[in-house]
Amino acid sequence: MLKSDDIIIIFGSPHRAMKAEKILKQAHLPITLIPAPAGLVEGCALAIRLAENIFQAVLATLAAAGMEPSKAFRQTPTGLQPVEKAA
Amino acid sequence: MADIYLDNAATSFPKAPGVSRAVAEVIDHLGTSPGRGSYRLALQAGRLLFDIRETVADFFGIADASRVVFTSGATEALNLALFGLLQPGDRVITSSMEHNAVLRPLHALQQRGIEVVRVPADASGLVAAHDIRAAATQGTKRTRMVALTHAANVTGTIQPIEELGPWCRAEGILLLVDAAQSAGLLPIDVEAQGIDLLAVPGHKNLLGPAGTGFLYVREGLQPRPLNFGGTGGDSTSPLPPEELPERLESGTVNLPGLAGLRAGLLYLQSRGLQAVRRHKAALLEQVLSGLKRLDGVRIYGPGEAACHAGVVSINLAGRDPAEIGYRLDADFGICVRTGLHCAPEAHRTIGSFPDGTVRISPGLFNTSADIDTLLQALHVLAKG
Ligand SMILES: Cc1ncc(COP(=O)(O)O)c(C=O)c1O
Repeated sequence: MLKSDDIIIIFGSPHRAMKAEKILKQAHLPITLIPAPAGLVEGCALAIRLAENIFQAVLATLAAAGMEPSKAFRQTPTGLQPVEKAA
Repeated sequence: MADIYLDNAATSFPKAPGVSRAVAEVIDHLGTSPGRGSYRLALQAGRLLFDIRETVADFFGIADASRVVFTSGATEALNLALFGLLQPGDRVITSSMEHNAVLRPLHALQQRGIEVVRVPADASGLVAAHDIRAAATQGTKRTRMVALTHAANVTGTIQPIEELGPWCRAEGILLLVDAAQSAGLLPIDVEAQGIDLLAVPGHKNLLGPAGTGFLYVREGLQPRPLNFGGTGGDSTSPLPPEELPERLESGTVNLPGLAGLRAGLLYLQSRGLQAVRRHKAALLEQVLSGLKRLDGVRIYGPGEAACHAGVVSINLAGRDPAEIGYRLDADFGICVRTGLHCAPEAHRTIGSFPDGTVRISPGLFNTSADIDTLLQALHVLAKG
């Protein structure tokens, strides 16, 4: 489900995850809605997966819509690590 | 004899074209539970639910669709707003024109220490805005909420919501509007009208299936849930999530019904709310002017089509409304609702308690010929 350096962002609720997906797809950003990896399910069993090279564009697009993710993670050889969301 | 259905205030029938197809489509091809699993079909169901919520939000001027909480109808939406936000010691102002979906929850809340003030309407069913304001500012206790129907279900009388919304906002009083008879007929914009809580059935003027409805909850309000249960995520917490809509939507949502509701809304949008209102007002005008030509008919409510939402209540002098309803059905195939319409106080207000009235509520798909048939039938019945 996750490749090295993939970014995962999560939202507090399924509604917000669906909204984020819609906004990002409308902006033609190639993201995928996936099940939130175990341990990240914070009020929502969904997460959005994206490649690192569009991370900043994703954050900026979401910020413009007032839809900041609640958390972001990067897949590393030792598992998921939190990343700063500064756009 | 084909039935002529004139009980659209209870539930609309027939539904809009496309509604049953939309319901069947979900049952046959997308019968999964949104927010419960992340395989593709469940995601598709989740996206559909999201789209439906946005369509609803857009229709009522709701900026953030997450504040739309789906319910089984207006009754559940009203219960959620009342039980979810009122606390012992609070005072709530309501009117004598309310449906039991407001009266009974308030009665139960009164027994838990909530003060309920019922403002009487005049004989036409109109609640004066200044009477609500006076009741809300009387005494020393702060009023927490005004709970008012937008259009009375017995007389169709349209209440002065536009006037009260901005005033309640300025006073810091919550405004709960029961839009059971108005949503899909009168323009509603929660922001412009200062509505904090809007209870809407999907199955009346919005032309959706039974078992659908919603409560709009203004941002910043956090009602206690009516139901506690699964919401799909964060299963380890013993508490419901903080986020709306999930906090208030435990259990599997009625996706087939809601898909039907969206089909109803899209149909209304395509016809245009103004055209819908014009058509229904023309039918009501025909009813009213025809009735005024009949001897011995008493019309309740304002008596002008423009002041009635979709219903008119009448009685024939000296006759039991139940008998008139029975004869309309048995002899003419006309369906109307008689009796007290779940609103006993409203009938006391207009002077038709305890027998009630004959309530006529044409729908979007009734025609002028249907009304002619009704008027001819009433003409026959009025003669004895
Ligand atoms: C004014 C009013 N409020 C509430 C309700 C209850 O609506 P529902 O049947 O959707 O629960 C009705 C419908 O009968 C009504 O007319």
